[in-house]
Formats: sequence, C-alpha cells, structure tokens
Amino acid sequence: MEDLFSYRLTDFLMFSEQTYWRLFSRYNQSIFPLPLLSLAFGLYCLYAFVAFKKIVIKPLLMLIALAWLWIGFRFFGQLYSEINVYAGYLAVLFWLQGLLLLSRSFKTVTYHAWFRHPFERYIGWVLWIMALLMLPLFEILLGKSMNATSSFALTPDSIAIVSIALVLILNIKPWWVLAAALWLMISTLTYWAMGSLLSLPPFITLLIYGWAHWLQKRNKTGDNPSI
Amino acid sequence: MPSGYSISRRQLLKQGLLLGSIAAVPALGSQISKRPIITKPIPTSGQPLPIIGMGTWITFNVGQDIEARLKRTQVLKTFLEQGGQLVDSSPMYGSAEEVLGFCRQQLGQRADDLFSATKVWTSSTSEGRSQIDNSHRLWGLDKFNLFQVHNLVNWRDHLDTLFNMKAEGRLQYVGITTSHGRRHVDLEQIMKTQPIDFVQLTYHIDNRAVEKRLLPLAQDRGIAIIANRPFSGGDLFDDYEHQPLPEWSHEIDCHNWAQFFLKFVVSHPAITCAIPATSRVDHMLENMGALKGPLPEADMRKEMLKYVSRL
Ligand SMILES: NC(=O)c1ccc[n+]([C@@H]2O[C@H](COP(=O)([O-])OP(=O)(O)OC[C@H]3O[C@@H](n4cnc5c(N)ncnc54)[C@H](OP(=O)(O)O)[C@@H]3O)[C@@H](O)[C@H]2O)c1
Repeated sequence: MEDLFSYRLTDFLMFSEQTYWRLFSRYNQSIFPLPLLSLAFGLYCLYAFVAFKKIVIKPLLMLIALAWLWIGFRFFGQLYSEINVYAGYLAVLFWLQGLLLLSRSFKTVTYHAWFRHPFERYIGWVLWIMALLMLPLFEILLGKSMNATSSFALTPDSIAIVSIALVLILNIKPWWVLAAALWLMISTLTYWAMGSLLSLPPFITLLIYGWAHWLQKRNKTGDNPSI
Repeated sequence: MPSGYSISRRQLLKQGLLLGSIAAVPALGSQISKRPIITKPIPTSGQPLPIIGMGTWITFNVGQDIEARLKRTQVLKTFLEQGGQLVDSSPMYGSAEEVLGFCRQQLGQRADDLFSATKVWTSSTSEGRSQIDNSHRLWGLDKFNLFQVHNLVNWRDHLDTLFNMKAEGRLQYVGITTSHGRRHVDLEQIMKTQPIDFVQLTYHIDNRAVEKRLLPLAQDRGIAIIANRPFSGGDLFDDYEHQPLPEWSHEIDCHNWAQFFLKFVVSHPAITCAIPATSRVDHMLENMGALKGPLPEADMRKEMLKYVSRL
C-alpha cells in the first residue's frame, strides 16, 4: 500500500508527448481526406442548429456512434496499442460508447429534434465550436503540426466533446455519454502527466458534463420526449 | 566519506572497484573521441562494462512510426560509437523492445558489441517463459547478456527460470530490479540469499537512500549495480539546469549538468553503471561524455553534494 502512494501520475506515462502527437498525424494521414469532410459536416450541422433550430437526429446520432466505433478500432485498437499496453481497454470503452449511442439512435421516435432550454443549447453550440475550431487552433498554438491536430469527430477528444455537446443541444440524458466523460478524464490526466496545457479542453468539457448532470437533476427533466 | 561507505579496502579490492583499478579501454569504433572510456568489472565474472549504459523507458516506445524509429537508430548508433554497451529495456516499455530490434537490424554489425539487458514482467510463471521467448524474438537475439526480474514481480519463480537458463548456457547473467526506492527490504533479502549477478535500483544525487544498506551489501556480496533514473526521470534538469555548474567541475571533465549528475552516480564504488535514457543524439553525446575523463573521488563527491544542496 505504501508502495502505491509512492507512484506519481507521471510514472504511468509510458510515452512522450511528441510520440503521442505523431500518433495523431499518422492517424490523420491514414484517413485523409475524411478529416476535411468531417470538418465540412461539422460546419453544416452548426449552421443547421442555428438557422433551422432543428436537426435530422436519427442519422446524426448514428454517425456519431459509428465514429466512436471507428476510433475504438483504428485509433486505439491499431495505433495507440503500439505504444500503450492498456490501449485495448480504451478501445472497448469506445466501442461501448458507440453501441450505447447506436441504441439511443434506434430509440428516437422522430427524425427532427426541436431544441428546448436555450441556455444549455448555447453551451452545447460552444462545445461544438470548440471541437470544430478552438481545439485544433489551441493545439497548433501549443506546437502541434497541422496534420497532427484533432480532426472533427474523428479523434478521441473531439468525438467526446461533440457527444457532450449533443447531450446539451438535444437535451438528452447525460448518462448516454458516460464513456465520453470517462475518456475525457483519462485524456485530461494523460496531458496533465505530460505537463501539457492540452489537458484544459477535455477538463473544461468534463466540468460542463458535470454541470449538465446537475441541471438535469435540478430540472428533473428526463430524456427529450421529441427524440 | 559520506555515510554508508563503511566498506573495507579489502572488500573494494576484492571487487576491483577502487577507482584506481578501473580499466581503461579504447572506445569501440569511436571516430569522435580517442580518449579512453571507463569500465568497471562485473563482480561475478570480471568482464569489464562501460560505466554509462542506456535506458529505453519512454524514449524508445515509438511504435511503428518509421521516422521516429530511424531517429532512435541514430541515438543507439551514437551510444555505441561513443563506447557504450549496456542497453536496458523491458516488456513493460510498450514497443521499446521491438524498436530496439529494428535499430539493431539497421546497424548490423555495428551493434555486435551491445550488452543486451531486458526483464521479465508478469505475475504468471508460464507467461514469464513466453515473455522471455518473445523478448528474444523482438530484439533478434539468440542469447541475452542479462535478464532481470522487473520490480520483483513473482521473483521466486522467475529467478528459477532464469537460473536454469544460465545453467544451460542460454543466458549470461541474472538480475533483479526495483526503482524509486520501493521494496528495499525485500530486495535486501534477495541480495543476501540469491546468487544473482546484477541488481538494478534508483540512485541519483537527490536520492541516495541505497547508500546506507544496499550498496555496501552489493559490494559485500559481489553483485553488480545498475543505477536507473540517474536524472530522476529528467527532474534533475528542471531543478538545477538553470543554475551554473561549479567552476571546479572541469577538474572532473564535467562540461554540463548531465555529466555532473552521471559522474556523481558512477563514481560510487558500488555502482557498476548508470543507464540514462534519451531520445536525442545531442543529449546522448552529452551523457556519453561522462564515460571519459577522471571520476570524482570521495572528497570531490562531498563537494558535489554540498554544491547542489546549496542551490
Ligand atoms: N524498475 C525498473 O526496472 C526501472 C525503473 C525505472 C527506470 N528503469 C530504467 O532506467 C532507465 C533510466 O530511467 P528513466 O528513463 O526513468 O529516467 P532518466 O534516465 O533519469 O531521465 C530520462 C529523461 O532525461 C532526459 N535527458 C536525458 N539526457 C539528457 C541530457 N543530456 N540533457 C537534458 N535532458 C536529458 C530525457 O529527455 P530527452 O529524451 O529529451 O533527452 C528523459 O526525459 C529507464 O529508461 C529504464 O531503462 C528501470
């Protein structure tokens, strides 16, 4: 037990920040031009949210779920596992989140979601913009090369932020994206151990996730009945 | 002498570890510096070992990334050119063993002098055996110089396996490792009771806990000591690098903090070698500087300690 307390967070980090970043550039290169398409898709969704105040929900949830499955398979199962002996567990976490969202998409009764609770919706939009633009820009600012930045909804932090954004925008129960919150915690700790400020975006999103839970409890709102 | 140095001259002579008796042999294939490198004998065999080795935790875990693998090949090439031999790894270090195998292959005969040291790290005895086979495959070796039980995990069974391998001529040396000052009581028992050749533990200028019991015991029992984390995982640079080196550091041929830290570690009579890890060729060149020139003697070691404690 005494031994256990002698460990620091950094003792568990088995690769350097540069090696982690290289993983992202190799991943992005391997799926090019998908990152460009997902960026365009993300921008269109944002426009749809703001302009129409409604969204074609079933396919959107399905796409997000597929992205979780894909990232679990390609990023964690094939790439991250090269440098982290525990990557397999993360792959499973991502598959579980994918399956959870897929089941939630089957539950939807309508194709179009109408938004309620404007304030939460705005925070959801901010998170969406964070995944779309702020996160990659912040990464570049901290020295990541262009091709190593988080691709919208195709890299781990980005998809987790997008999923929590959806919870807020659509007003569905935060439990549906619990694995996303778990990943954000792991990501925060990973960057923290590296001494990198990139721990901030996942950490802030995690706080917002906690806030979404609290709001839901306070308002006693269930899942959005329209979806 | 600092506390914990209560060893007799006879014991020192027995192990050939008096600084004056350190063998000096020309650097292997060195084009850069013709100065002799410092070696110390492995107590159980007398085989001379260069006092600076190389670790691979984090630094060699780069996966399949070919660009990064080629960079690490340059790091290993520099290490060998400067006269280094002992390279330490473990199945715990992700892809490090596989990357080392890649680097060895790239360097071909130039890597023939490498002293291979890896570990077995699993709580299962049978899995340990397949892990050992896997390490041979990953490094591309038929026989390792040194196999160590990593962090004392399932040490009884793994030591049995390794002693058998040694008896059958499939392994040269057997060792055990710990780090960060953990499980020293157990380690002491193992050192007293098991016929091991090597112990690997943490020793650096800011963590000298092992000076009290384990280092004298190693000298007494004729066990070689590998000092891991000689830079405290890099923390020593964060703590001291912004400060000037003492003026007298040139007397022991220390031109940067890396050499200062390393020469402090390897000048302890019980330490056979230190294994700093780096991902950079320029850092490797700095570190390998500690393989040459005079080592600090007891008085100078005291000065070194006094200097860093004032910073
Ligand atoms: N239980 C065990 O068996 C155990 C436990 C711990 C360690 N070990 C072994 O011991 C080895 C060494 O320990 P470690 O890797 O934890 O820590 P370390 O060697 O004390 O420090 C490594 C760090 O120092 C930096 N560094 C190296 N040379 C430098 C220089 N000249 N100037 C500035 N920075 C420099 C490296 O960064 P750069 O890459 O930027 O140079 C790296 O971040 C390990 O690699 C491993 O093989 C074994």
